[in-house]
Amino acid sequence: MKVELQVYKIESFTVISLNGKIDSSNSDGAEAEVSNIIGKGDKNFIFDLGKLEYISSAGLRVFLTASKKIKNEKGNFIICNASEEINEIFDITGLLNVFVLCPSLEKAVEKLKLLQ
Amino acid sequence: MNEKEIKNPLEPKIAVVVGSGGIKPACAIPLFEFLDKENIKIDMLLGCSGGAIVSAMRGFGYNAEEMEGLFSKYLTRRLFTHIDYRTLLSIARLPFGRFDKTRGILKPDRLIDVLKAIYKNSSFNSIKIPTLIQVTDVDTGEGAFLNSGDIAEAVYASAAQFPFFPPLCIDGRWYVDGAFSSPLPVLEAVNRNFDVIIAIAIEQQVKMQSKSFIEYAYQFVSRSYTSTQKKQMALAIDMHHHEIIIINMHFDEVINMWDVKKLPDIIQTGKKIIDKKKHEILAAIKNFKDKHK
Repeated sequence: MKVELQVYKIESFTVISLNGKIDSSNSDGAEAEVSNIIGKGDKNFIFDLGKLEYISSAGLRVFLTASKKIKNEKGNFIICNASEEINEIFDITGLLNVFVLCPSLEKAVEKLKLLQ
Repeated sequence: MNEKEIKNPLEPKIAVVVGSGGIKPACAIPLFEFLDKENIKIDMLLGCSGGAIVSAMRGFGYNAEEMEGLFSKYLTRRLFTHIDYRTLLSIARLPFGRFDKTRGILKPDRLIDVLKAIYKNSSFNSIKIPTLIQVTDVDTGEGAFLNSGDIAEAVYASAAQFPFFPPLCIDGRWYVDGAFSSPLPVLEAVNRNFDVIIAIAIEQQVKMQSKSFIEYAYQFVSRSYTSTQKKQMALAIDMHHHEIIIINMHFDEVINMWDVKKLPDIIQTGKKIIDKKKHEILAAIKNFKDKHK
């Protein structure tokens, strides 16, 4: 199982788009890739989950780890475009109280501007 | 398996956690059916409240069919109708009213008798799969786990939703519903280093316009449990090292703890949801084995 990461910029924000599935078979690799991107010095990130089909608890830890690293650098991050199923996973795991979720990339950009 | 037995390190240590939810945790029965069919061994069961009844049944050695039979035989509305009128009188400060922490709105005798029949008056020494029962100390509000002494008493304490049911004194401490401290005790499974944790979470449907005081109070308490559960789950996920498979049992209608006639629907809902989650359980076990080859 593989998850593909695509990285691009919108204004000054780094967008990380995830495509595929994340579970314990590939979460270590995904976490390393995300950490590498975060470590390049940018402070504000958007995780676009529009193409993410499935996420397990191991996958959720990728976001928790990323969140700690970004907050440690006094940065911000927003998750957007999560499908109904993935949104439900964030809800039942209590992570809707931890992360900021937006319905679209545009809304995420607007929200991130306010957080800066 | 005895907790002290050494497990093959290539095999994941598996815990099943069944959360609170009145009679709805009976929806976990199809999970045990599936695990038996796939020959997946459970290393520990953790249960809270209604989930403690189910977990202890499984830990005691009942199979899925027997568990369903026990629920049908013993679970009757009569368990929830033995009112302690002196408690009610004391709420209204009327003559003959009496309250202390040994009392609740309902008398517990019928429920305790049924639990004693289900677990055959046995102690945890007869348990076949190590089982932890989540309770709450009524004097401190702190959570605790019971895994020794009388099974029925531990299970009763875990399910004793105060003030409906009174607390029970076990080894000098007074215990009530475990859901007040941890409705879905996944954190304990994480602390005990289980690799694959299968957690049955009961989604509490709430009827906002209930005109019954008891029903509304019960549903509000249930809702606050869900809030506690979510906060603890986020922490559990952060602390864990492999997979927690959360099976969210959603019921389209309000099912109160006394709605015993809905048992067939509860189990049917469980079957449907477990069917959808089977591949996640199998994948988590396979991924663990692949990583530790």
